[in-house]
Amino acid sequence: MFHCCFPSPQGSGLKKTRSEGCFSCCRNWRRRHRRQPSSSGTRQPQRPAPDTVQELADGFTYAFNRYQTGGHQARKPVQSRSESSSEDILEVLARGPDYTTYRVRVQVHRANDAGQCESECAAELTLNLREACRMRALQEGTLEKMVVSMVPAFPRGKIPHISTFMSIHPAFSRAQLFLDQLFTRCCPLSIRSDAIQVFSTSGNMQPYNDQGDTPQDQLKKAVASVMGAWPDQIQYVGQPLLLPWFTLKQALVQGHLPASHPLGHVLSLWVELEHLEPTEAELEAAPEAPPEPQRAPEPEEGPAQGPVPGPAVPVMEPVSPPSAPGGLGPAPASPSTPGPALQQEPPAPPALIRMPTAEPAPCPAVDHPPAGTTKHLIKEEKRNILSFPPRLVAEQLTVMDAELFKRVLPHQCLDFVWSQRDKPGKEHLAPTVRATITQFNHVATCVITTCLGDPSMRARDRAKVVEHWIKVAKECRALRSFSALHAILSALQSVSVHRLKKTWGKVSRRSSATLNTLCKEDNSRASAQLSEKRPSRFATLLRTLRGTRKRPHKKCVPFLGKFLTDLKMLDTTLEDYLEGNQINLEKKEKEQKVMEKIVLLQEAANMYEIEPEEKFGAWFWALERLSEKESYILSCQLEPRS
Amino acid sequence: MDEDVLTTLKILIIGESGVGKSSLLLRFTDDTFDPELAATIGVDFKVKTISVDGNKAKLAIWDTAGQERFRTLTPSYYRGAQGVILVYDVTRRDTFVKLDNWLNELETYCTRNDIVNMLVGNKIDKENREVDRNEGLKFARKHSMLFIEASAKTCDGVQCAFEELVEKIIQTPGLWESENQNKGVKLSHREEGHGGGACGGYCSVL
Repeated sequence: MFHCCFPSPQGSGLKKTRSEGCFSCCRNWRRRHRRQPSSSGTRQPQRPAPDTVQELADGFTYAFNRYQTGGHQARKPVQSRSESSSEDILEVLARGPDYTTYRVRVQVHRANDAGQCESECAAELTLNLREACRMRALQEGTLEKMVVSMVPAFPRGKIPHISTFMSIHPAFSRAQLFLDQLFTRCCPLSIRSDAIQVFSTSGNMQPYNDQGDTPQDQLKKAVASVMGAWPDQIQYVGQPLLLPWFTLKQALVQGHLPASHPLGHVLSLWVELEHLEPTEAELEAAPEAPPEPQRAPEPEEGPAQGPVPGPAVPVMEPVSPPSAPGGLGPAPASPSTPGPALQQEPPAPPALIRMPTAEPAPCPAVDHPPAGTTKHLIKEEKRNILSFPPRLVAEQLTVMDAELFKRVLPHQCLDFVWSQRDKPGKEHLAPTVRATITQFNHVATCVITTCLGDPSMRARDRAKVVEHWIKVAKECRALRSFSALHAILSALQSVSVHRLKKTWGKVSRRSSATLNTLCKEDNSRASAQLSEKRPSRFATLLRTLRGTRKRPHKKCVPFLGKFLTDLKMLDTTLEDYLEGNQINLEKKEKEQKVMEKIVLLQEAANMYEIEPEEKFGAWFWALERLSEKESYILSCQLEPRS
Repeated sequence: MDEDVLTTLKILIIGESGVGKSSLLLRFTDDTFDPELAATIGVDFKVKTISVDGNKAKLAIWDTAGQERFRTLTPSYYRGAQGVILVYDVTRRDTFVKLDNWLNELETYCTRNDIVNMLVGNKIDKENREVDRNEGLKFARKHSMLFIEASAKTCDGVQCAFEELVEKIIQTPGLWESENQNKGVKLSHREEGHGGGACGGYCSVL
């Protein structure tokens, strides 16, 4: 049983609080903690305006403390206007004589240089007894029920749990259903729809001033909310939404966002509601013929409308050419990708608009020169791995990994998407995940191939290469580039390399010791690193939101496999639907948490400032790699099986 | 924790991508998984206590779910394992053919040769079978493995597979005793657990 809570409009009263929100939260809490909560009925309806932000020792937990006196303002409040925040209680953590600690989800709004942005972060809220959240609990239910109960929350403009909601498969139709409901209830037909253009970035959407909301404003908010959750959540991002009265088009727009913003999420969303007067016919026609006459000039309105600055556009460009040399996996060449209508759109839209297809472009933005041009470089200068200093190799691998990781769309890691990867006709799924894995295996095979070398090499020569890679691994550790580190360590321990006893006999003790240390650490890190990372990443996020951003402490590129395992286990363990076709919110929420972790870590991956180095890139991509089988055979040639 | 637990055994589940390794594991461990918990404790395996022939054994079962595409299996994954469950999908011949590769890995990484291996043909609930039961049996016999066919979906044979494996391990005292002593785990020794006795006979034990 899982409850989602969201704030209901003010004035909904204490009764509601007690009967639904509090009690259900308490029930929830009791179930989890098997402890009796103290009486919560004494809480009074006040807004839980957090006054102080305090970083707790464990980092990821932030307490928003409000003392009974209201005094004590240790730091600048995160939220100055209570209206601009909304919190929803995830669980009751502890109760004291005069306070109750909840884990809540806080929506923080703040102006940034690109306009207003709003983000969602989990936090802990300590409330005193006089405070209460007016909460309504969203129970598990069928899809329709959930939609219907979420819509009324709108007047205040924010739908909590929209991302969880949207992650429900197949989310695309959920969005449609939701907006349908929304328009039916909130939006009179008379609304001037052509005005409705929403700029949003995934996770960050443009909030509107809460005062003086017109129905149009509300609608915008709603659409922004839904759309903001869209790119991350929905596989079929390119499809236009067909609603009774509108066609909702979207396109990804390059926004000008703080440098800290993970590149993968800089892809922004342009939503356009086009009023279709005689809708029906077009609605019918739309699904087949890729609709989108794509009114080219429209996107131009972007900059005027909101924070869609043009200059950033060129930055996007490197993303699209899926010309990752060295075969970066099934890079979906935009034109050929089967799928959503929009993807087949002419790539015409000028300036700002980019087709959503660009979104999954998995190829690394790291500029590897195309294979053709690399060849001569290699010939000119016959290099081997030893000619590149370990630090440089580590840095270059890091930058490649980071670029790919930043582009990973969390929803593509979801097991229902990812596990279909091998099925016929599904090869285009999860391209961003595939790209990451391909890169990982590329690094691993690169290590194996170079270590095995050729039969003319002596064990001593091979040992040198092995030692070199150990140094690289050490540098990767220092750079917190865990994906590359894991790839190198895996490769050094792979069957083909591991069994070369003579070679290992020549590896210096010191190197062996280093390797052992790194391996030991690596084994326990997979999961540990994530919890270790969370605090700082979250702190960074908060600082960003507060505009007091400092130099982030810890950059890192995590190993994606860990997340895939988590998501796979979740998917195998929990059912999508409960009895009576009720959506299993517990599962969705847990999946959502994993995806949020990925997003947080993407920010850490964005902190590297390393320039790609052409020579290494050329060498790396031009290297002819041995397949697993080939390397095993070669290995057996070098040292026959006993 | 349990004082009467005889020993802790490390069991690996290996096999090609998509053969249903995690399903098998989760069916056996009662479908519990909490990523939060996993992240906190930093474990990548699941633990279950199982009682075979009056002996309680705690199993630490390792699985690489979701990571198959990464080349990540390293000696540490194999190190100290007492039992290996090698899984293939009876509806996909390629997963059966690739068993040789996995045996190569086992041979390379597992230094001791008395590890108990079990071959599991999974997904027998499906209709489009490509690998005959006899083929599996033959392969298992050739490589001295236990063999069972199972379905994680219907839970057929899942419990049985693990019990069978544990029983065999416990019957090989040198295997788990030395491992545990090496690790310095204090055991509450009962009588020597060997000769655990007749196996249930519900599986094809070879």
